[in-house]
Amino acid sequence: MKVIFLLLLFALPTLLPAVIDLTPPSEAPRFGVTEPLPTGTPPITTVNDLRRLANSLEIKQDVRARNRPIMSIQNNTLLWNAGGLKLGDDFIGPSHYPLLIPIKSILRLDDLQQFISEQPDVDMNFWAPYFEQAYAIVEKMLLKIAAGSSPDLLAVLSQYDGNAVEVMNTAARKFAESRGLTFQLAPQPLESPHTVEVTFVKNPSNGHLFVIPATLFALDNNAHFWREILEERPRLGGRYYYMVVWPNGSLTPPTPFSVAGPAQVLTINQ
Amino acid sequence: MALDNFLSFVADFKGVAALIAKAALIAPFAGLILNIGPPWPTKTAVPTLTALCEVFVLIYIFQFLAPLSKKRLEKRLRLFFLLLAISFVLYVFLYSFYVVDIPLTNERDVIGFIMRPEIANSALPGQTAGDLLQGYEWDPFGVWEGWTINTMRVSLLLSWILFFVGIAGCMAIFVSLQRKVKKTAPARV
Repeated sequence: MKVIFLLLLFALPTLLPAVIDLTPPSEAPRFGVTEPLPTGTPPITTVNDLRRLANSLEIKQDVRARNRPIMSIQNNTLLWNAGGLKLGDDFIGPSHYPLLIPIKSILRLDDLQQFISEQPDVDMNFWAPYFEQAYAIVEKMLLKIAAGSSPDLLAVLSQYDGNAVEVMNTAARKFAESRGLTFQLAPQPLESPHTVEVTFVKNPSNGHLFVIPATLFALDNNAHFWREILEERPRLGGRYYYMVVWPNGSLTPPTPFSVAGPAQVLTINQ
Repeated sequence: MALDNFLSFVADFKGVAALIAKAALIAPFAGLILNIGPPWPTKTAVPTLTALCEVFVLIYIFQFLAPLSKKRLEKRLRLFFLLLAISFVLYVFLYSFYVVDIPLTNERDVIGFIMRPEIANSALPGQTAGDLLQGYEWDPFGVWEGWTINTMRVSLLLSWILFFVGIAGCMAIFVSLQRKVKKTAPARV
């Protein structure tokens, strides 16, 4: 009797997770790259060379798995997210290695291509031109890096990265249209757990909006923490700074703002 | 015999001690309403785990401790009371220092005790840990070292469970003691 009781007692921690979900809330992965990037080598200018380098780096499998793309059809709605991964930190990050940004792009695109090809009833011919367009953007990033350092390098690379995602989002929208589905962007897999939807209204509407959490704004090398807001209603929480690059080249300098509650609307005029 | 003890204890709706012990089993679920339980792992997992641990403590006590002598039972009662008191004080301390309210979503989260060096170095004078957390999308893993957050999560959960284990233990031993007293009491004329 005692033995059975003790066995049951020790088996409990193993059996419980099957009944109760004990998995910790998803966390943004950190230090995705565990090996330093090569320096002093000839610049990489082709997508194939970049892919070879990206795959030779020890990218944590769980990081890639945790940020898998989302493509599911529920109640006539296509729920979509191109996926992605967060690479580097402020020690080994894009500010020191701008090449990390195209590496992130190509890993995301390769993962996405693989993911879509595994879906049932998917015609890859439909997706191929969009992938071609997105890979061409990655090549542009490489050429920009090869052309040498410039003050706006990181901002331009981040913008290209956003454009590549937008190409794939457009592809998913067209895919949804062709099947009579409603397109819906799934929540970002990398977001913090304590966030709410915020709406930004830009006047004019085609300005490029960038935000950075206030704590990261205080860091010396904060350039690579700025992220462009491409969604209609991004999920944010806490205190931030925003910056807008307007179509005529003018700039709204970093301005602090706080997310006070859900359904907040922020209007930014040029 | 032990099973009979346990079942009669559970089925005894009239006994005051048994009623209190049942309340002790349900008490962890009050944390759901009062919002005083540990935030990790989830709001529902914490009371479920706690109640399960309490049930196992009750089973253990009725199986292995109930047959002990009155003197030895009293000693166990003191030990369980000590566990209850220490774990309660520990939980209150940990909760007040390492659990933060997230006003934006009306939720709570656990923070760590060692800050990430780059964040600590960039903190401005007068900036509190709460300010830094609010400035990092309320994401504790951005501000504190991950292992320190996990340590605090586990410590909070364990002290909470031990507190209820202490309550269940005290009640079960108290009931066992009362039964011994009844059995040994002389019949009234």
